[in-house]
Amino acid sequence: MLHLHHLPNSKPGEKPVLFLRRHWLAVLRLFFFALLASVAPLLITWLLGQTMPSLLYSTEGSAIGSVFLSIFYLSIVTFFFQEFIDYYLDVWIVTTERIINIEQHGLFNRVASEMHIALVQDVTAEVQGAVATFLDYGQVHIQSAGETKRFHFKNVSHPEQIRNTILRLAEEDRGREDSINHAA
Amino acid sequence: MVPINIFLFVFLFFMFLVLLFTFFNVYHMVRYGRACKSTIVITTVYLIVVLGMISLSIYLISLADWSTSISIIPASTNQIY
Repeated sequence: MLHLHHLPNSKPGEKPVLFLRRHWLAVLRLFFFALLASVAPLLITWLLGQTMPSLLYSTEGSAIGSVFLSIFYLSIVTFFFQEFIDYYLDVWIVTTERIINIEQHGLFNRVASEMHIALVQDVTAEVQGAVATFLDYGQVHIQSAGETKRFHFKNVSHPEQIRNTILRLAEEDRGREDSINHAA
Repeated sequence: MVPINIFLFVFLFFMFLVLLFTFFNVYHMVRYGRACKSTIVITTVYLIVVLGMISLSIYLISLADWSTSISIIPASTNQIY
């Protein structure tokens, strides 16, 4: 399991500052689709009851129907949880020393990368659309110095606050590194 | 005539897939999830829901009569000659 206070390769004195996931709206959307899909067999059963009741209430019909209903509802639950895992395991951790980006793509594809926070050169917060403005979520792009690589925090809550925090932490870390270099 | 209990094999195959996916899902939550109460609660709720649904499915399926058969070819086609 991922322990925030025992992150892999952590430096002495490193403290977690932000632990981020996508906005809860992503889960709500997923939940809504699962709910919508759950209603479909009930609608089909009702339609069959109206048009072909003999098929629906026959021994064979009810037996085969119970198999297909079971398969359908178990598929919904499995699919919902798999998509939820995709959401739940996609995390961005900002510590006093680095930014860690962990992305889960499906079941067998996982990408973990990190960037030293002192290398952060530019942080952009982007909020687009009425819903995103109202619920205060959006994108945060982090550009490191001397690299083309960018970190992208997708649909995170309070992007402006995150931007300010990262810039402040980067400044503090550069200050710490400068003082160590001067002392040496 | 096709015996309808052939659908039970379809169901068994699907149960195998569900259990396989459940194993991988739980493994991912335990291996990569954040060590906190919510991870434990979510995983437990998922396991209860899946196992409950499998039990309910098996109960519903056991109520049906699987000894009958269905005809794939409509009866009218036998009366051509």
